[in-house]
Amino acid sequence: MNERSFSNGERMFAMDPPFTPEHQLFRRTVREYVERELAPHALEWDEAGIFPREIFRAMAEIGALGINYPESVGGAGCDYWFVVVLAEELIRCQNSGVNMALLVQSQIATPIIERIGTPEQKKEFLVPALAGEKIAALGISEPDAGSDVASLRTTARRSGDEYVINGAKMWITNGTRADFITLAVRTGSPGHGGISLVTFPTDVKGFSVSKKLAKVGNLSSDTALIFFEDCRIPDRYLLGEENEGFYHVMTNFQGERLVAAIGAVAGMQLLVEDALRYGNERTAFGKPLARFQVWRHRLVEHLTAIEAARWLTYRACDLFNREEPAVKEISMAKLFAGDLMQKVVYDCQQLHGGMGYVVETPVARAFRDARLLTIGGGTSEIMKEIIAKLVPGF
Amino acid sequence: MRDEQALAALSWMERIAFRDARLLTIGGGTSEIMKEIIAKLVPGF
Repeated sequence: MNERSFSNGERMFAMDPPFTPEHQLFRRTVREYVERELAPHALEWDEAGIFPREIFRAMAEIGALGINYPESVGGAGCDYWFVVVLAEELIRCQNSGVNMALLVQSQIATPIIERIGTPEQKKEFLVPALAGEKIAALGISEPDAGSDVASLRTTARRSGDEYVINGAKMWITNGTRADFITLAVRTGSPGHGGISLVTFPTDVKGFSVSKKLAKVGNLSSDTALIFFEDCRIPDRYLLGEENEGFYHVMTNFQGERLVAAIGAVAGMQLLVEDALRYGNERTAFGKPLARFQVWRHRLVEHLTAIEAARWLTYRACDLFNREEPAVKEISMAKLFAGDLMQKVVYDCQQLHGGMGYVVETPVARAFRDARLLTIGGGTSEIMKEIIAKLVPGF
Repeated sequence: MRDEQALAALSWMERIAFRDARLLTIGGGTSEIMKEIIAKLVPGF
């Protein structure tokens, strides 16, 4: 323990306050755009099962996609707290599919390219992605391998100065219309040591979208099962070193899980505020629902837990921003926020009564969409296994 | 000896978890009072 440790010896965080006036200006910019241009179409895009491709470019124009990337690739060079702001404000579009697609584009499929890509790879894939000109997807999961990345089977066999790719990827967000995929493939022996990453343009012969998956929620986001049949790509598309992709995949998971936790906390806060607003409007037996102790106490319990989730998540953000080890804290934040969301959204929907069962009502769609939070990006059970491995004594 | 240790541990758990810890939702203001206080401090209630 030192002067900057908690009582249990863990590293203290230095983050009071996390948001400067510049962060708050960015927050206003994103919020205004999201509430004006995205939220009014939330139901329409869910019903359509897709949203306009132009949204990627529009988000780039307000500086949202490249906010934490270097200026050399079209970014703004800002710290991770700007990403926190982005993930918190995107929630206000009231459409989880749009939210997820945009975060995959900017925080999940592309960070690896910035981290280990060559200047040519950045120019061909990252720059247009951050400008909203090319849609990006991340291809890790397969029909038989999700968080168990070491078991993936899609192969990339060397043939001269090319790789020949065969296999399938599952649960691919942006998968039906991605222009390129940051793809995990097996180039070596079984296990984690034989995995590599490549940038894969989807106009390559032999690539096909098998089907768009019909999901319970996140309806406006296209999620696909995709196939690779003797797809040839030049070996200059290899990201980093051959057979060293596993580490980068694991690192990339952290950013994915962290934006999920941030979004969950922001979403829960909005849900309770919305429930409270409705609870003050709707009366029963002569008084507003919000005046009944049963609802007052239940919502207060949730607000208290949300506050705890927020600061656990902010602690993970602080470590991540300072590039310190944060796997345990990020896993805890996603686990806690994801599980808590299930209770919060259930009660907020319950307070709305019949109105909460109609999909025109945001809380009804949130109930459907929120289910993903304990599944996507690694299930709650996977989070528990990771945490257990990082806690001495297990 | 092992049984005695187990019993001692049980006694400790019983005291901490089921007797002393019980005070935490009662003493200094019950959990229900905390909820009332929080509700009064949150706009909208």
